[in-house]
Amino acid sequence: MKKFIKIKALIATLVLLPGLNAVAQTTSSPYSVFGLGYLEGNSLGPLKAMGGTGIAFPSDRSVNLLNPASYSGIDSLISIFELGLFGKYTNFRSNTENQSLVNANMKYVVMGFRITPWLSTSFGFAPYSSIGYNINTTEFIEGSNQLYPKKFEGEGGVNQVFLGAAVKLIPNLSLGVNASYLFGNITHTESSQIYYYSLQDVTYLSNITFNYGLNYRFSLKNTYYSLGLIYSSPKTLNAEFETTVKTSYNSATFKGRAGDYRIPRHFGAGIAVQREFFRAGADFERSLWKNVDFANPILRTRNSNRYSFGVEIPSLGARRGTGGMIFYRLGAEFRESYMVIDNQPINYKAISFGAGLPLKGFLSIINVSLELGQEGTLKSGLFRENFCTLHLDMSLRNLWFRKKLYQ
Amino acid sequence: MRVTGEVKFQGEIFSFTRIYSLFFYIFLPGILLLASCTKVNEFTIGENFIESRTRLQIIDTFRVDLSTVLLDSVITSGTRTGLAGEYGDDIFGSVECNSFFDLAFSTFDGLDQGAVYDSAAFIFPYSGYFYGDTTSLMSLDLYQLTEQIVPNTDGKLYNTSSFDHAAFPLGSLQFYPAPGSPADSAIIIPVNSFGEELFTLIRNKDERVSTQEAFEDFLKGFVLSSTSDDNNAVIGFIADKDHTLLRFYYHIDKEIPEYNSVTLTINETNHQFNSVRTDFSNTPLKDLGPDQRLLKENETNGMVFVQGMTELMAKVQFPTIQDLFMAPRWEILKAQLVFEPVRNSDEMFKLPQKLYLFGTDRENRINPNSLLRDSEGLALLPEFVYDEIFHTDTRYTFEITPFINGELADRYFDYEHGLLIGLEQSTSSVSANLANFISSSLDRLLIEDRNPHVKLRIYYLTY
Repeated sequence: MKKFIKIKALIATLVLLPGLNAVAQTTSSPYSVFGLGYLEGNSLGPLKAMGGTGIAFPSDRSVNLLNPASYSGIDSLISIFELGLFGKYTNFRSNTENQSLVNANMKYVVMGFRITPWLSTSFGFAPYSSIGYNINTTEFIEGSNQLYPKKFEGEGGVNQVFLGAAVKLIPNLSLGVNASYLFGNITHTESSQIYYYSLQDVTYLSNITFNYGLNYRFSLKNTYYSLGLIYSSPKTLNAEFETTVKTSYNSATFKGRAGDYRIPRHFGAGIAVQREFFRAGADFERSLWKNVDFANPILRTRNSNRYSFGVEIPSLGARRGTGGMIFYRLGAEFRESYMVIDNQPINYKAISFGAGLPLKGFLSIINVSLELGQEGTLKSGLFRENFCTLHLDMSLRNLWFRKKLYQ
Repeated sequence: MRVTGEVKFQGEIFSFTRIYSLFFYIFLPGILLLASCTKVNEFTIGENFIESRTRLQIIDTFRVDLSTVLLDSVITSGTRTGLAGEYGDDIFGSVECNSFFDLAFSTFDGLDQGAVYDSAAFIFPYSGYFYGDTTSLMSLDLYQLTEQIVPNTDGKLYNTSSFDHAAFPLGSLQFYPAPGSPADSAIIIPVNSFGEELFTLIRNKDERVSTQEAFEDFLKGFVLSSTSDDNNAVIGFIADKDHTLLRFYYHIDKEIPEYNSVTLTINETNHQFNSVRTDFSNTPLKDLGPDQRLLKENETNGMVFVQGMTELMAKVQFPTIQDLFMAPRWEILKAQLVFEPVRNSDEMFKLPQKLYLFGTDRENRINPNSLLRDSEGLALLPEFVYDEIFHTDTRYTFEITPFINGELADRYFDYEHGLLIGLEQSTSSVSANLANFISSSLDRLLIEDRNPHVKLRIYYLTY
């Protein structure tokens, strides 16, 4: 019986992986046009309700992908299976236009469990970056005063399949590493319906990256304090392009090695406090994008920073401390993205709140959170996105390693 | 696989199998459904920082070489349109049309032996077509041929074909033509003495007209021809068996005479054709003839000439299109041939709306396969814009993208591979769907190559 369930969970993961790959577009924003697109970040599940904060949090009720060292926190009797979905409403506003759209998709599937008292592991699938835009413009036909409509479309992104492990070096100190296989493709297309042509440029990307984490935890007067550090080294992705030009009369394809698609050096630190079922944390992350050149005259890069904090409060009253306990969460996040477009920095700010709702009678939780935020600017003819994202995370925990009393 | 185990845990009953089953059968399909409803925006927002990798450009400064070409001959048989008359001016020269036909064998079965001949006339109902000035008096003669109409080995007859006729006409008519009048109006040429002779022979079942062979040998054929150089128009009539007739009027002697008529109809075959004689002297085309079939535009005052049955076509060639190959990566999205008629050249002659293009070579040969066709396989026609008020924006535009792309396919453009602009034209081996290309009109077009020039306009993409 137990084996059967395990197999089923694995099947579910395997079935979902290619499905995810096919529908991996999780972004719809013209800002995703550059490079690898919109960088998704690694905060999952309950952390989404806390401004994405979690570098110093352990993976206890949920897999924390921000810091591989957190896997040490997985309960020795429990395996975690997590699945994330989102639905996003975005309003795009420029000085002249105002447009809205809704998109929704599945986001990640991860599993985590403890193998030995000192070794825990996690694996799964999550987006690394995504591209999604659809821009209609008009352009002049050179050599005339005729305008014609032209459409730019982008889709795809980079996904990561990762396998991570954390070891407890000494009781208070954990070290973790994630090996991620990054793969995916990015498609940019420009076309004109009127003159029947299209140029489609597909870039296939892949490489393996490692990111590392440390977590140090100590207690003082019934309060736990922890410190988390993360680091990943820069990496250039293997990139090959395939460009296809199609007209009503002809079709031509070119292939070759594509230019640099680089992932910069990345590091971060977080602190957390936990007392009984209350916890709070704050994160700082930085990616050294400044030296990554996009060869785009309108885009300048800078080092990106992310600041966030979040708190988690347990429900009071009779349920406190039982399996039926609800967690309320609140947080805020500020990101200085690597993009400076037309000398305007593109920033991201959001507040989030949510709850972890236990399914009655099961060791499972549904984490719901709402993120309200803003990205971009109205200056320099750019646009601002006001968005509202609903994150839904289903965390299925299971007593794989516990013997049942009755069959 | 159904749930069997129920486990007490922390005071609550749970079954983890059930939640997995739930997930497996409801949640999974739900997710895939959800994924498919993601909508991508159709925005204009973002256009100022997208980098285009393609450029769409127009070039219409390619040189276009123009010339007037005189083709060998055009098929004029079996068109069911007869043309007779003569018209001349100092632009296209003079053209004389004579219409040949013969009559179908008939024995007047049931004709009373006591029928008394009254009169006879050839009837040629107007087709509505004319070329020239119909306000002046016309005169036409009807002759009997002295040789039978025999098609060429290909079964066709051409504008250059001709058959001898008798010295004196069977009948003549001087009239003011009325081609635009009601459908039943016609040119009627009385042939009373000829009619009486033929009526009597047929009624009496004379052996000269009692079999088809004898009938055809005896009657041979007829030609409706332009009598004099004074004619100022060519008139069209409907030359099929329901319209062109020789009608005999007779009566039967009784107390109250009974008047009646019988008819012979045109032999509706390729024996019906129009001969066309042109005279280009005193025109810019005067040097054109069997020995010189092409005149460059600078030899003809910067104009080129197109006319239906007179075998005149305009030839366009593109000497500088090779320049495109200078650019490294390009695709032609659209190629247009744009030209305008000589301004006000349509005062007397309506501009043709249907023009046809034929791919051709150094020898100016065309065949059914050289006709340019559209994507549906129909003859490619131009977009015709008529500027009724100012006459300055009247133009023809042909979409010739497939032709240009085809010629460029081997990355070499052969200058000799030009295009011929023609009116309805026949070719030596007419296929079924080209039947309409047998010429039956004298419509004409004078193409200007100054202010503006004839243009090859190319929309092309570089990337």
